[in-house]
Amino acid sequence: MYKENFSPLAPASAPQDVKMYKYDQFDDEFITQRIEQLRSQISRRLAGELTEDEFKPLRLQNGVYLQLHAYMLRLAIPYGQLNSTQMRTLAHIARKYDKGFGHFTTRQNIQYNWPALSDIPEILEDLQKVEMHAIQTSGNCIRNTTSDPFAGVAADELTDPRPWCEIIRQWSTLHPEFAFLPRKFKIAVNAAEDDRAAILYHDVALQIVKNDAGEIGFKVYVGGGQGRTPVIAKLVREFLEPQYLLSYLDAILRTYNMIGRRDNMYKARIKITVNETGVKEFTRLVELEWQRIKDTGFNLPDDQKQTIFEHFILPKFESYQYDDAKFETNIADNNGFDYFVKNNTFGHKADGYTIVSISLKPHGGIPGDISADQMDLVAQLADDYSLSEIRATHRQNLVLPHVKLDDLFTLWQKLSKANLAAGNIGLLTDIIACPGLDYCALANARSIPIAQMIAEHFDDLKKLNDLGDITLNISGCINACAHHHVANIGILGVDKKGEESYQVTLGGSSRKDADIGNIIGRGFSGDEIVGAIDTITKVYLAGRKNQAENFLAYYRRAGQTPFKEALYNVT
Amino acid sequence: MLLNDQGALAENQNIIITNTDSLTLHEDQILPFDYWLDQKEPIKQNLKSISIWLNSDDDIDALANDLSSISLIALNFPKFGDGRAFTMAHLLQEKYGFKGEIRAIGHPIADQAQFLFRCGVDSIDIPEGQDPNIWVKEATRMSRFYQRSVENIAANSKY
Repeated sequence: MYKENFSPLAPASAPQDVKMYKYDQFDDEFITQRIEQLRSQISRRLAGELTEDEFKPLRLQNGVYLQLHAYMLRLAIPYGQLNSTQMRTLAHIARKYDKGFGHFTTRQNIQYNWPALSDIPEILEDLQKVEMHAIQTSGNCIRNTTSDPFAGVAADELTDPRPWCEIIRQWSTLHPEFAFLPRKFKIAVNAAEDDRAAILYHDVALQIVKNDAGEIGFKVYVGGGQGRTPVIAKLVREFLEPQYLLSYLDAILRTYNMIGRRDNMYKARIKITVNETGVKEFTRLVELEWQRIKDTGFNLPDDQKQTIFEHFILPKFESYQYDDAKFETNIADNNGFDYFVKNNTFGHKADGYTIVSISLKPHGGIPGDISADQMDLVAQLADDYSLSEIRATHRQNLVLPHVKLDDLFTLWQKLSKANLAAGNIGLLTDIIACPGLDYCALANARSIPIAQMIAEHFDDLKKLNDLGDITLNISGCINACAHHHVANIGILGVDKKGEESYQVTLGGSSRKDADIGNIIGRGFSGDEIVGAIDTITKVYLAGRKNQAENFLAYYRRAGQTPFKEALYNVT
Repeated sequence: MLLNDQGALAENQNIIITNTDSLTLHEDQILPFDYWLDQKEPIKQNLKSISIWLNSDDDIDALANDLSSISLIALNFPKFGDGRAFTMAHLLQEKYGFKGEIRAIGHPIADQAQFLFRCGVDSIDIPEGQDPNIWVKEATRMSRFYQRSVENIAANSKY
């Protein structure tokens, strides 16, 4: 139903050279050897020489899951950055090895739900040609490093976090000591004023800051996470000099590897280690180890750091006089473009440019899903209007990071034809949802159909805009893959005596003012949940001081009482 | 069968001792860590070459003062997913400068061989029933690495 027929776009520009990390011979040979290894592991598994138990951690560390109906392959998009050629390869994979779709995840990655196990080495070879891989996208190891999807060009950013993410990517790739940790391990880096990467819910959060002397460094937080026990990461170091990044990470990981719990997988994440050890003691252990190793040769040498940084020099932006009057006329004359400009664009460092978000939450769509044809279109639009560059966001959307204001209207028109122009970024229908019972082996309840029902109900863009800045996330089980705890409105599907029941939490936030939502009361059935969300929005609209008081601010002021009264008729 | 860090196979000459009741000490035994802690002096008097094995939850710091009298430390994998032995090997080599042999025993899998060697392990006791040829192959699977290794800090590594 989402497979659109597009008319070919003319004139098509050729892909441009995107400023991002580019493989050298070392990287390429490394990937070749890794694919060869997985090929041998798969054939040993198929020949029965590896048990499923032994094969599991090996396939997982290459992004291969066994799901409800089939194997699933999750590819890494390091810190969410892609070029148009890579996007075309993702479309090719969707067509050739899947059913014509890909699914962007909350980890800025993409996953495919229907590949055959025996095809996977071939898929990885296709990816290698465009400098991509699936290494460590799952398993109890260090996962893909995530960051601000606007990194490098966001108007509110201190410095570009991407080179640091790349340094972490390389350091963590097949790290021999940290490939069999107690549990998975996620690192996020942010350098912006706002937090668009939910960093405080990562095992390690690195916020790039400036000290009093004006030097750049890292504020280090440890032990954030979601899942069954949501925890906000705790501060362990106010300022880490950047040259010590890798030795400090070594110290954190080594401490965790030794004292993290291995008796119960639900208590094995570092958030539990920090809570049970106490942040003070945990910090002491890390500092003790770090002081011992900080100058022993495990940091990144300066010249190598420089080499990595050189990949991320910003492209040359054109200086031009944009047509302000025409822009205003287009806004006034085109229903929908006004909301697209208001919600889907963000300030760019260069004058005359804007950062454009492409919502993968169209009316009735599956959050994060995109067809192969749509991927090709996004690639072409990136070539035509965004210097061939694309980003993936943790809210399961895409970004064209360098769009000229003069091109915005044309871009919007072309996106509209492909059902990619929903102007709902940051609004109630910009829903994060996990695959849920439709795909996932762990799920207890459906998520996607609930997201679709909510999107159908709140279809009026005017009303949505009036509701304003609000996040709604839906997880189909307590593992919380859709981060329901940290949404302003969270929905958790559970199985209650064979029936799906949806529990609602209010007041969560994944931004700088991070907070974990509170359960509002008894759950709702699949038939009741849309009505309950409707009631919640009505309580907010009736109670807010004015439009400037957003949902979260209202909830923090008014508390649960007005919502409880309206939802459960209690007074 | 033992696999060494050059990817070569050798016969295993050692016996891992799990039951120490009425034990007569021999040079080829690998003794349990608790037994060693308990019987340090008699063991030192009776054996020229001392080998002990540790479980993944044993405290290697407790060995620090005796390392010069030990010639082999075996690190047990109760199951392959328990990755503490990687850190223990790293610490023995890098923190304590242990000069003897570090061996992995128990239930590691072939695909961990290279990681183990890069963390300072010298030999792996290949679990019963597994094809040693797969281990030989996996021991040299990757020829390049991103990180520096404790074995040889920058050898074959990108940085």
